[in-house]
Amino acid sequence: MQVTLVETTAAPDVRDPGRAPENFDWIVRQHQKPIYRILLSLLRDSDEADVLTQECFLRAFEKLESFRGDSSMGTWLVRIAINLAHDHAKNRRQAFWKRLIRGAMPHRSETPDLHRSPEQLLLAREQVAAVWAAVAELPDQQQTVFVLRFAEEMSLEEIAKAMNLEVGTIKSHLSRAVGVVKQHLLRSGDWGQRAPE
Amino acid sequence: MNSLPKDHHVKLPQRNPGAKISAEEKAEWLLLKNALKEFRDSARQAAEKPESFWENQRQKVLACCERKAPVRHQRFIWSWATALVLVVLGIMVLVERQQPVKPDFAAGYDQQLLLDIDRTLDRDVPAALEPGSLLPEEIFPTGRITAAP
Repeated sequence: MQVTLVETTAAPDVRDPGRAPENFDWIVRQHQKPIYRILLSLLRDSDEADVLTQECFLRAFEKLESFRGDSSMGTWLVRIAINLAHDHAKNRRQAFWKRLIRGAMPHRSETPDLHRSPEQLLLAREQVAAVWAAVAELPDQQQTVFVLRFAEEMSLEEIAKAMNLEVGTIKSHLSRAVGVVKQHLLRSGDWGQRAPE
Repeated sequence: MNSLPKDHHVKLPQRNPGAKISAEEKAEWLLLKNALKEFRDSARQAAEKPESFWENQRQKVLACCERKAPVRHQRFIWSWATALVLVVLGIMVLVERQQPVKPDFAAGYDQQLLLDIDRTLDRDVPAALEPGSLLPEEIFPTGRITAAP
C-alpha cells in the first residue's frame, strides 16, 4: 500500500479503514507537535518522547475503528499518550528521578534574552527549575493534570475527557498540584523579596 | 500567548470577599503566576524542533502504519473466512441430522421382506395377537378349558 504525504485542508473521515493510512497523515500532521510536547513534559527525555509519540500514533492507527467520536481526535490522542507515558514511567521511574536530580529537565535556552536583564533571566531560570522539580515530585495524575493545564493550556473539560475523570476531580488534582508547586517555589529561595512585578 | 488561561486555578487568595490582600500574599501570587508562565514557555521551548524532525517522525509513523495496514486487512479477511467456514459446517451438520432414514435397497433386502411375508402367512395367529394367544396356554398348561358349571 502506497502511503503518500498529501497536503489536505479538510479533515478526512478518519474511520474509513480503506483509506486510513492516507487519512492518517493528516491526523499526524495536526497533532504530532502537542503530543510530543506533552510526552516530553511528562517524560523529560526527548528521545523517549519521540519514540512514544510514534507509538501513540501507531496505537491510534490500530484502534481507529474504536474511535467513536465522543471526544475530539486530539483529546483521544492525548489519552493514548498519557497512558503510554504512565506505563513507560512505571518502568523507568528510578532513572527518571536520577535525571531530574542531575538537572536534565528542559529549561529556557542558553540564548540571551535581550529584553531581560541577566538577573531577571537567572530568576526566571531558577523559577522554572523549581517548578519542574516540584512537578517531578507530584503523583502521576497530579503531574499529568498540571502539565496539560499549564504547559498545554487545555481546558478542564478537555483534561477530564483525556484522563477519563470528572471535572471536579481534575480541579482537585490541579489545586493540590498548584499548592505543592507554590510551596516548592517559596521554599526554594527568598522569593518574597525577589518576586517579579 | 502572554497570559495564563482564565480558569487557571491560580487565583488571588481571598479569605473574605471584602478582605484586603496582604502585600505578601500578592507577592506570592505574582511569583506563582510568573513561574507558571515560565514553566509553560520552557515546556514549549523544549519541544521546539526543526521541520525535518517532524517530517522524519511523520515518515516513521506512516511507514509503521503502512506495514500494519495489510496485516489488519488480512486479519479482517481471515476472521470472515473462518466465520464463513464455521457457518457452512454448521449448516451441513444440521442438514445431515434432519435427513430421514432411508431403507437400504441393497441386495438381500427384498429377499428378507419375502421371507417375513411367508412367515406371517404361515402363522395361525396374527403377529399382533400372538401375546393374547399365549396367555391361555400359560394359565391352563393341560390344554383343556372347561366351562363353568
